[in-house]
Amino acid sequence: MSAVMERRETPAAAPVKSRRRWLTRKTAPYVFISPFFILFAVFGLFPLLFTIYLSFHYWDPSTGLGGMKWVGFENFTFVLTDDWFHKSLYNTFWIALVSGVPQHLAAIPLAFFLHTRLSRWRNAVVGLYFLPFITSTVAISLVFTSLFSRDYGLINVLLTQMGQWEVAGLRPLGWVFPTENIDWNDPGYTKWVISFVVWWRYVGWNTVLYLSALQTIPKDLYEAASIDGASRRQQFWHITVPLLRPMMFLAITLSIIGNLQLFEEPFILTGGLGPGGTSIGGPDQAGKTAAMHMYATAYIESDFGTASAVAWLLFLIIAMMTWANNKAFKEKS
Amino acid sequence: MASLQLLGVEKSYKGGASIIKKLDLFVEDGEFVVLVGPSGCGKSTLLRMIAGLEEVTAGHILIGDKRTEGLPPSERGVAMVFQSYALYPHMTVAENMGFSLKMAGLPKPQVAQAVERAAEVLQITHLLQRKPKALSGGQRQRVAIGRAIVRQPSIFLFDEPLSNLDAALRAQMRLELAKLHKQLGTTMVYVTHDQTEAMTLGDRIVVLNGGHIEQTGRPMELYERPGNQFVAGFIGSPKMNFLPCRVQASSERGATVQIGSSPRPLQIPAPSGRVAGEPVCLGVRPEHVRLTTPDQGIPARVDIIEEMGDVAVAYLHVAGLERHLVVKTPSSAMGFYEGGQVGVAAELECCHLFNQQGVNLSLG
Repeated sequence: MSAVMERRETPAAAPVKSRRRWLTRKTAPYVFISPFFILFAVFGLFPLLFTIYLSFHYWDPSTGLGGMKWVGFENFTFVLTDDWFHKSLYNTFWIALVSGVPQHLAAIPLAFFLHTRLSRWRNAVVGLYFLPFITSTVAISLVFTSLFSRDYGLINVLLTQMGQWEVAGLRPLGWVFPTENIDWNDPGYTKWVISFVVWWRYVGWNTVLYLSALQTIPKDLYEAASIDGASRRQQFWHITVPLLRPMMFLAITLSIIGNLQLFEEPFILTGGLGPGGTSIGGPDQAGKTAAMHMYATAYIESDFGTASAVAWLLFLIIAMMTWANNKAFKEKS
Repeated sequence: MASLQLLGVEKSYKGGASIIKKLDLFVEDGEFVVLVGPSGCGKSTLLRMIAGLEEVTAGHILIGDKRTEGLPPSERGVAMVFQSYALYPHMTVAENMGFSLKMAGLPKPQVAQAVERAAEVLQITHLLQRKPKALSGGQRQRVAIGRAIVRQPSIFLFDEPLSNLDAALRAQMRLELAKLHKQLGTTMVYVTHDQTEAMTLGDRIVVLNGGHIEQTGRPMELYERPGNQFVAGFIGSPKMNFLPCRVQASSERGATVQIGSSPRPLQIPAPSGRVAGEPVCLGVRPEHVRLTTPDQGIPARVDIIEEMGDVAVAYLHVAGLERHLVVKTPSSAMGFYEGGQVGVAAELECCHLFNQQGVNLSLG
């Protein structure tokens, strides 16, 4: 009996001993946490540092690593004087403002309405508003592309029907609504269409953010305010809005970061790489954002050095705007 | 200042839960009335109905001569101090206190003057520019009261305002509230579950239970002459001992009852006419029970002694009783030890007999 037991113990003891050589009590925590650091180093830190290195070089990846050529600050000076970069930056700020500001202006009252007026159906309605945020950008953009189609799009059908509505031989709404189909691909409309889609997509996300903040405001404060004589509107301005400031700061910061990196929606809505795969941003590049410009520089023009410089300049702009936003909210709070 | 009348007030929610059941109450002008009762008895709901924060299902509430149906909270002439203080965290103390006047459209100098006056009454002038987060619990409480004072209401409503304070601060604020009532002379309705606050602050106490009034009266009246077993148990700390027993005999001198298996029956003052064998409940407050030597009184064993400093509370086991008999006695007079045998004697004139419906028979 004891001989059998001895035989069984011997092979079992051996792997424990060999495991202990490297997996000690001291090293085990580092080993277990290492997958994150390894993945972050490979896919996060290395590309980050590599783009800094690249931004001071001219590099066409088809020439291999040996094709890198040191150019100093030339990439940065080129980008800063490049008209296309200026235009893409202008487009980015235009879309960021036109889609971003109304996002918050709509989301705050909407969240207040959902919070104060809806109870039973609140989650269902919030879910509906949140749906665009979790839907594929490609699907959304394709749906809106067909909605904004010149000849068959629903938007044109609705607008022209209003414009062509006749009463006693007159078209009373003709001066407000179009009577002919609008070409939404016209450069004059591109940014408006992109802004509308971006606004529609993120208004639900911001509503959820503000709703979660509203739920943390104690009910007592509203009751105290109503005893103090504040109407519902005054409660909104004197209680809700000031107490939403921390969430406003977060939501606006996220909007700044998101809108200045805008890529998917304008890229798909303006037809991707365009005919021949050589242009980007639609006619007159009216919908070309800074992120799209970076992409085009890298993958159409094969100039990874300049693309890296664009990426870092964009980062600096985002960092400055976030700082300014922080400053604006901090001073008043 | 104004009186307050509740006439057949009822409150129930959708789904049938009845919180307040046909309640009538009259609060005189300048009176300090304390609504007291266990959790869920409806005292806070009643206060919120007076404030206009909850709708009245049936009945009427009159503030002064004014009926309050459809009147928004701000037009009822009431000010409320919340349990959580409900101070606006983004405003300074001065802004908090002046908010109601600002909403009423008063000019800034007038608001500042009113805030200054209230701050002086509460001695918080030095805190006016601070935000609530920079205040202690007691200071926040003062600001909440200050916010109420600024409105110059006809009635002050307090919803358990001291429950978030520590024991020492609670005692201090209790005193200050009593002083404030004397100083302002305004009608005050105060909700608490703490019977010490009820006893010390109220001109009159209203004991609520399950949405109806069990008894109203002056604090000492409720203590000495509780109308029923619920009130007797609720007022007083530690609570009154209730000893189930049977009437052995009844005469003009009172009812004779036997406690547990004690061979010594007690004669309790009660109107004659009790039937021998009738099950009753003897109520005696811990402070009305004396400890003697085992050969005197009802024999008992000391199970636990709680020393409070000035007084000691002893939990006694009496043969034939399911629950401990609680005795409160000056520490110096204790002289007994846990596990020791003692005799128990009660001040019979302070005892009460309750029938099976809980009605106090000793009141006649």
